[in-house]
Amino acid sequence: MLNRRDRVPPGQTTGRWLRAAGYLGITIAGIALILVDGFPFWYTIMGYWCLVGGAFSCLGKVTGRWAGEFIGLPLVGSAMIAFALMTYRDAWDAEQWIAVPSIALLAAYGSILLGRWADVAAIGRAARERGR
Amino acid sequence: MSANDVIPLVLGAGGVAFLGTILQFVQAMRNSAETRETKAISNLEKWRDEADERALRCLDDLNYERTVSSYWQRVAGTYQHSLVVGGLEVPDCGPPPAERDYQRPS
Repeated sequence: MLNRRDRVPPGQTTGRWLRAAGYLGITIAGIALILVDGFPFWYTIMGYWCLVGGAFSCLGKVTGRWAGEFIGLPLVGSAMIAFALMTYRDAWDAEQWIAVPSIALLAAYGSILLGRWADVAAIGRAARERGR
Repeated sequence: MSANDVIPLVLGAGGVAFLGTILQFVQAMRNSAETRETKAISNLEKWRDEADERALRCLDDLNYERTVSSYWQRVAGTYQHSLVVGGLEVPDCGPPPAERDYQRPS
């Protein structure tokens, strides 16, 4: 059980519920990717990544614990970058005008999530050092 | 290297990082101040229980020693004038020693 010192500092909780809603959306996307038939194999794997990572991150945000995002964001970030590549690959032949913005936007989204992961790791290190 | 080759690598790296973060988090929690404090309290309680048990055992031993000493003191007081050894009474060897000469068994 984490103590209060390990929670996200008060200055970093702005937009907590918005972020939790975003992670909930990622979780729902993962469930859809898993349940809907006809998706290729790597889309289904990406769905599991979104489900597990999104659920961890959402629970972490709702409960105010840094550990949720710390554990969940690697899965979500890598799933976003993989999704960018898959979208680019699948859209290039049919709609080239949408392929480039898609890969750019989704890869940027994945990069932002992985950057957030690095920030959360720093928050966790600081919380542990304060606890010592 | 095409996108088809990169996609498994990206997802695999994410999975490995996920497992790594879980291990790191578990290790951090095991080394956390709260965990160490709980373990220290648990050790102190265990040591206290063991000390209580040792003290009770010492008390029992002490009571036993007192009982035995008191019994042999009574025996010494009863037979200090005449001794019966193997059914034969040993002849009286003189007047009983004065009370002040009596040495309590150590």
